[in-house]
Formats: sequence, C-alpha cells, structure tokens
Amino acid sequence: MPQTDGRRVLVTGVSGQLAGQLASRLEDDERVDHVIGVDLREPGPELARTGFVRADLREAGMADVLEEAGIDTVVHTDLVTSPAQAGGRTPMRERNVIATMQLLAAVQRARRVRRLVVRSSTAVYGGAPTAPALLAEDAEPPTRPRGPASEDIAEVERCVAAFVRRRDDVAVSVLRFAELVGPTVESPLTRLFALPVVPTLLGHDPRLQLCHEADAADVACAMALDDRPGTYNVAGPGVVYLSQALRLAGKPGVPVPPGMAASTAGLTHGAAAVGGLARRRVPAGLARRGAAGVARRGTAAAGLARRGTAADLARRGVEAAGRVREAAEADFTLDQVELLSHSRVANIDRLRDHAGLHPRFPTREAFEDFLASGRVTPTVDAERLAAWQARLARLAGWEAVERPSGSDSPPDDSGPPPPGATPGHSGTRSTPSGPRPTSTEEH
Amino acid sequence: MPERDADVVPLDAARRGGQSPPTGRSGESQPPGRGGEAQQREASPDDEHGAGSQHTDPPQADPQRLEEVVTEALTFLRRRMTGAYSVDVFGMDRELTERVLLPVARPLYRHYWRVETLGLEHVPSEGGALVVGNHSGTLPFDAVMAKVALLDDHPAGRHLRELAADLAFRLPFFGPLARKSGNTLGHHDDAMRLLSAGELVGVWPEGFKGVGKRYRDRYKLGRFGRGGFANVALRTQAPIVPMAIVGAEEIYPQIGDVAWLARLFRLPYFPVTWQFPLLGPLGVVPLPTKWRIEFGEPIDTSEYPPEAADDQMRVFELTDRVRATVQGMVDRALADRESVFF
Repeated sequence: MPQTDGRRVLVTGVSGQLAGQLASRLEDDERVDHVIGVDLREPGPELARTGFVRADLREAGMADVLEEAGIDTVVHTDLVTSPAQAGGRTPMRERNVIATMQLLAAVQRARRVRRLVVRSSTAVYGGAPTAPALLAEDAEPPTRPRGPASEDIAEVERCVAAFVRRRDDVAVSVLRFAELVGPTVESPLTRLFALPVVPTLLGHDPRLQLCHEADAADVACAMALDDRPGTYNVAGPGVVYLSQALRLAGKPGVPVPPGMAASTAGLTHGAAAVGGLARRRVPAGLARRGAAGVARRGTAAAGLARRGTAADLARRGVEAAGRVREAAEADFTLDQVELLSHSRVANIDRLRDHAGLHPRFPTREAFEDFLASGRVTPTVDAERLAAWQARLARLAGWEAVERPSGSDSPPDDSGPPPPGATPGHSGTRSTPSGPRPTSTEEH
Repeated sequence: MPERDADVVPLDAARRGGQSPPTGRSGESQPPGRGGEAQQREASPDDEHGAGSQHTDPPQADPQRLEEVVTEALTFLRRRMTGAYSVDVFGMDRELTERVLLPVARPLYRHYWRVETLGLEHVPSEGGALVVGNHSGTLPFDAVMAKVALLDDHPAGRHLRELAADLAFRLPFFGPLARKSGNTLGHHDDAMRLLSAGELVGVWPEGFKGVGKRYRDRYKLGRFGRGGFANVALRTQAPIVPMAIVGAEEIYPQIGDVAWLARLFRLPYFPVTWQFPLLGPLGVVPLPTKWRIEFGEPIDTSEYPPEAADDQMRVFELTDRVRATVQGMVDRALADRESVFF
C-alpha cells in the first residue's frame, strides 16, 4: 500500500451511530491510511484502528488536530437532533451551529484538507402543500423550517455555503439524509414508534421517506473517498404513509388536533414533570390508599366501590403518567410536528445519476429492518390477526378455502393472486394491465 | 352561448361511428362493447378479485362463492391493517383507490349522474398523455367522474393522475385522500415526472376559477392558467387529449359567492347555490343531472419542434388551441343535449 497516497480522514461526532459505521467502513478501506474520530464521548470498542480525540468542537483547537494529523478529508456528522439530547435548546444550537462554524474556520486554515463532507437533513425543506411531490436539491424551500433541528440544519447549510465561497479548492459534499432508521439508530422518530400508541395529526397522513443507516454510512463513505462535490439528497427509494408505517409496526395512532399539536412540545414537557413526580416523588402506596379512600366514598353508589378496582385505577393512573413521560422523552418537538403534518420526500435522482450511488434499502425495507431489530413491540400483532381469521374460517367450516390464504406467513400475505412482481418503489411506472401492487416480495 | 355550426355534428357523429366499436349514445344501458372490455381486463392475473367485482353476477346462493368473497374480504382487511401494501412516491394507493374509493364513486357515475362516456378510443392505452378538461360544479366531482370513466370504461383501465391545486392538499382529511387516489400537486416537476413515467395525467387548467364559476357563466371556459400544461406536454412530447364534461355545471347551480366567508375559511370562494345553504345540510346533495364526458381527437405535440417549450408564444398558441378545442366540444355537446336531467 503506497503510504504517501493514503487518505487521512477526520470524522466528527464519532460516537454517534452514523459516524461509527462510517469510521469502521473507512478503517476497512485500503485507500485510507488513518481515521481520527472526534467527539465528547468515547466511541464503542468496535473501532479498533480509529484514533480518538476527545474535543469539544465548540471551542477552537481543531486547527491543531487537523494540522498535526495531516488530515485531508473532514466528515462532519455531529448533529444534535433534539434539545433533550443536548440538555436544552441553547446548548443544542451551540453544538450544531457554533461547532460547525468553529470546525469550518479550522478547515479553512488547514491547507492539506481537500475534501469536506457535511451531514445535513431533508428537514431543511420544511414542508408545505405547495411543494412538489419530490423535492429536488436546488428547489427553493417552500417554507422556513420551524423545528429546532431543522432550523439548526438550515443554519449549518448556510455556514457551509459561505465556506464554499471562501475555499473553492475544497470539494464540499452536503448530504441531506432523510430520517435515518435501522437496527441501531436512536432518533426522535424511532422513539416515537417505540411508544405503545403513537400521536399523529388529525386529518394528516404524510408520506414518510426513510434512509437506512447502512445506506447512509455507505454514501458518506463514498463521498469521503471520491470527489463528488455538491448537495445530495440521500434516502431510500419509495415512500410509506405514516398510517402505513404505524400498521407495519402494529401501533395504533392517536390523532391529535393540529392546533393542539403545535403546543404539544410544551404540553408533553409539562406532563413529563407531572409524570415524573407521580412516579418518583409520590409513594405509590400513598397514592393507592388515597385513591382507594376517595373511591370508597365517592363511587359506593355506583356499585363500583370495590377496593381492588380503585387501587387498580390508581395504579393505572400512575402508569399512564409514566407513559406520558415516555412520550415526552420521545421528544415531541416542532420537528416532529412538521414531520407528522407534511410530507417532505426528496428527489434522489441526483444521488443516483450524478454520484452513481444507489441506496440498497427502499424506504419500506429500511423501516421493516428497523422493526425487525425487535425494539418495537407491536400492539396489534399481524400473526394474531391471521390466526383470528383462520379461527373465524374454521368456525364457519371453511377449512378448504381458508388454508391457501390463511396459512401464509405475515410478510407474504398478499392474498390469493400470484405476486405481480411489482416492486413497491417503482410505482411511478405503469404497466399496461393496471398493476395491483402486491406486498413485500422484493426482499 | 352554445351555438353550433351546421357541419360540426355530422363530423362528430361520423367520427364516433367510424372509430369506436358500437358505443351506444344511451348512457344508462351498457353498450355492448363495454362488458367485453371489462371482462378482458379482469382476466389479467392480479385482478381477479379486484375492482370490477360488480361486473360479474355470481349466483347468490353458492356457498363456495360466499366463502371466497368473505375470505378475500378478510384477507384484504388484514392486509390493510398490517400495512402490507405499497404506494408510489406521489402517494397513490392503487389498492385503496380500486377497492374502497372507486366503489363509492361508481354508483354516482353509473346511476346518479348516468355518465355517458364517448371517444374513449382517443385516449391512448399506454404511455404518457395529458387529458385536458373543462372544470365546473362548485365541488370538483368532474375530476372524480373522469377518473371512474377511464378506469372502468377504458379498455386498458387507466388510472387518471389528476393535477390538483395546493388547496386540495391543505385540507385535512381530504388532502391525504386526494393523494391516495392518485392526485398530486399541479406543479411542473410532478407533471413532468408523471408523464415521463408514462402515466395518464389529468389537468383542469381553469383551476378553482373554473370550479367556482357562477351559473350564468356555465360552460364558458375561463382562462387556461399560464399554459403550464402545454409547456409540460411540449417538453415530454405527450399527446394532449381534450375532454369536455357536460352536466357537471348544473349539479350545484352557483348563484352567489360570500367573499368574507371565503376569506374566513381561506377558500377561493364560498358558494351559495340553489340548494346551499337554503336546504341546510341537504344542500350538499348535488342535483342528479345527466352527464356526458367526451374525449376528443388527441393533439399531437411531437409535431412541434423540441425547442417550442421554451418559446412562450408557441406555448400560448398551443394553450389557446386546446382551450378552443375543449370549448368547441362543450358547445357541441350542449347543442346535442335535450334535457339537463335526462
């Protein structure tokens, strides 16, 4: 391996999932000599050959690191997506915007840096009914984003645009990822689907576009190693409706009136405090006794005044408060309200045609892979539904007809017609026979 | 006012007689050609339990048949409940459209407005094409009926992909439903993408001004927007199929528009019709007029040079040509019409 040609790559936010996967791909690539990871926290043990530098990007000092390590490629993936993660809105903004500005200032000085890859998000597009179905990279954003994360990301992109003007010899790639999902991704979206019931916006059903973590790491790796300057949307082909995603996950949605949802962030945080209080501060026994006492007196007439019932109710109340707390921990900010109210589906033609990169996981498969990781316990079970149908058919004495459609495995239950070989993501093409999209056969 | 030139009707009749299979003018009774076409379409392998179940007339007492129907319905329900279906990037859910939404619209098409559909042979069976129609009716039922016509009665059973105003997607409940049934935003990018993918795209260039026009202005076509549809057709060289819809203007004869209420609800107009709000909730029931949807001879855009799309004069020329064609078809249909309701 020619030592002189080896690439020296610096990855920020290396303890994050995306950067971790990216660093291990870079480690395995023979073109790469050295990988340095920067973060506040140490990355997992799986990064054997990555040098770790504990540093706060918000402070100056990166210039020295870049210089000493002889870095030629910088991949900036450090992005905080929720105030809870950073410990408040102000620290969040600092970790996103100020850190980026500091990093870019250092890179501007570092004469050896030839390539910069910046993680962004399709959240920069905001979302509006006046936007086309697929948002292209050069499209005028229809609305100003309002959520904290999308606000920050838009700001980060402005900083990068300014950097491009200052150092035109650096090939800068901006990667606008759709919502990341996968077996290891932790995000407000994945936490949302982990809730027993998922809040949705009444009357709205946005199309979701997702990006599998493996695809995200692959694209970031390719962008770091080859010159593909420009802004790219990165996402899996195809979409799923939010309602469909909920059904795939086996989660009932709870529609919230949109006017209320705008203030849900505040509401859930308020409720979180109450929920936390109910769970921790108030001794459970006391709550139970108090509630039981009230119930004894109050509902005697209703004939419901069994102590057990009252105690049970009290316990459920405490539990419900805990659930609300979970919801708040899912961090229902304006970002999520935006995500749940408007589709923001990006056009990935440029990634495929210009960069020649093809995400392997269509949105639907990416989501199913996330579900397969076992972090989402379905409230409505597909197999149980199938069993119910089978039982119903048996009751009616229809064994003969029921068997071919009733005994198939849930992922393949496209019913009696043979698979029409219509991949879910190529729906824009019409076949003359008027295709009925069948289910998930393109695994 | 509908004024017809003497030579137009025979020409029209000749074309109708010459090119189409004996498509009867009597809309209610099924023309002989229609049933056969529908059968043929249903023979496609993945469609056997599908959209056209009303065409087949099963012997009601057959228990085997009942089992199949119930099992199929339950499997369908389960598939919907577990999310095992797919939608395209524009959000069209073909299964939902064919099996839930169209069965709702179909009785309106067949029995309520008794839509008579003519000139379906002018709509290509495959490849991109732009269907351009006149808009009317206070509520855009005309788009829904055109969709039913092309899916049910066209030999190829084509899904019409309508380009709608952003208002449609702003409305809660209605917006997602519009997308799922195949609508998308009337935006240059969306139209280009659909046509390049070989879809049949429907556009009503009058927009909301067309839907919300007064009764006294009925069947007078408004301005055809900025000619965006012509631009897209020239770019993709997709043929333009003019479409005239007669009967929709009279479903809610609009006699007034309460501007301040429209502003309050952020709507393009707030209609006062003969029925609404006079009859209260009953006023939203449209009148059972007799409809006629006619597709005209396609306008071939490939005869224009490729650079025509950038020549605004050409674009306006084509726009006017399409508008005049549709207006002419509407006028002829009005002249033919003997009664609004029969």
